[in-house]
Amino acid sequence: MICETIRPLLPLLQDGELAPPEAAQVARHLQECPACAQEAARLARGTALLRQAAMLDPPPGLRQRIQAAIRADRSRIPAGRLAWPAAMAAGVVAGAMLMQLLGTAPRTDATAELAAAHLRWLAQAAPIQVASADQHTVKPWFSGRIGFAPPVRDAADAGFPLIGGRLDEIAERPAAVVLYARRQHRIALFVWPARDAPPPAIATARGLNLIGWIQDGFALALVSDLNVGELQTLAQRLRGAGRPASAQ
Amino acid sequence: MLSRRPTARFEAEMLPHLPAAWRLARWLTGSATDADDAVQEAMLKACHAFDQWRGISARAWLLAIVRTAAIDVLRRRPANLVPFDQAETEMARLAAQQPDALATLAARRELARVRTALAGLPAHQREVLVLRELEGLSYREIAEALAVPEGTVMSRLSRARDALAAQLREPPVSRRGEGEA
Repeated sequence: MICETIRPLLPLLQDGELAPPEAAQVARHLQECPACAQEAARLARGTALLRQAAMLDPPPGLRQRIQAAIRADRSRIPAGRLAWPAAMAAGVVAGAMLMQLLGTAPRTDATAELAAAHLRWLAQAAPIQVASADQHTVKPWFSGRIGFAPPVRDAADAGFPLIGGRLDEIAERPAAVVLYARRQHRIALFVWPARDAPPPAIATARGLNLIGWIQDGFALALVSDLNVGELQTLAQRLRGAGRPASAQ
Repeated sequence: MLSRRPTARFEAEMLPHLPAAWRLARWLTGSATDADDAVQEAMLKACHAFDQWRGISARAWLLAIVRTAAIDVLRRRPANLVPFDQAETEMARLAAQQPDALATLAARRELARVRTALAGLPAHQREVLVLRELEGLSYREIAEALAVPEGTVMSRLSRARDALAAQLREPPVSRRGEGEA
């Protein structure tokens, strides 16, 4: 079980992206577990090999050519012609274009992807992009950043307060992640257009429970280390299929 | 008063990132000459916009502009033109410079195989690998360069590493026509 939860964090450890307590925990595990240590070594070998193979150098004269171009250009074009916001917007458009031009890879199983994405998020130091208990704050936050309006509902009355939201990718398409809390547990509700990938019905992966369904053209999946019974309560609350037990 | 563009400051801040800029363009376009064009274009744009730069990392900011320029070059390139992949010519030059590093034929073949695998990945996986594995950008810098959230960076990087490893597990000779749909 522990290996399952450690594995998705090995790349983050190698990349120096784990928060110190998680990094120490993973490092301790690697000392005790030869299989995970072997996997960590495999990752490191892959990086070393890629660096050795792909670290091409620019042609020798490029720096001088560009320096000359910058200095010659300086006398011709007025300063500040390309505003940075415009360049940023161009980057966003270019990103969309790149995806369009070059296509995406085939689909894979959403269950493994959801679980790994949630574990990586839990291990990261600064995880919530919009921290708010107010659905009228979280919902509009998504609308400016993703091509669809995910359903965002508070469930504090059922004991699952909304804590915020973030963005991720499922099946290489953008996904909204609405975040809830229950005692010390964190619960992620992944939302993405159902045509991109089907959600898992009910599953366990890497020590996490997953409950998924389709609603209004969206695939939704709850992912958490919370027990499946309580997760089911939240699922029912969000689907509107049942009232929380405490609501009489 | 019209502000003089601080060219000297720009050069001091940005020229050290030229190799990173060129490698990103090289791996996105698959061609050394296209990379030259994209990087020159990007450096001029960046120089014009330099006084508006407010980001966390000069490198991430520059690489975002390089990426846009590389995509522009790709779009301008005639659709029927497949660039001659110059990696092997480049590596021959490198091998001449460092005979010890690439001593054996087997090692050179293995590295060529890695380059082919990288070149065969979808562009959004290739760029995230180049930025992380070659240039050592943090997730936050990559997020800034690609204008995507960090969660997306982590997911893409994870997929990209898996995809590259899968490519490399394949035998060197492709088994075409063996039930591959």
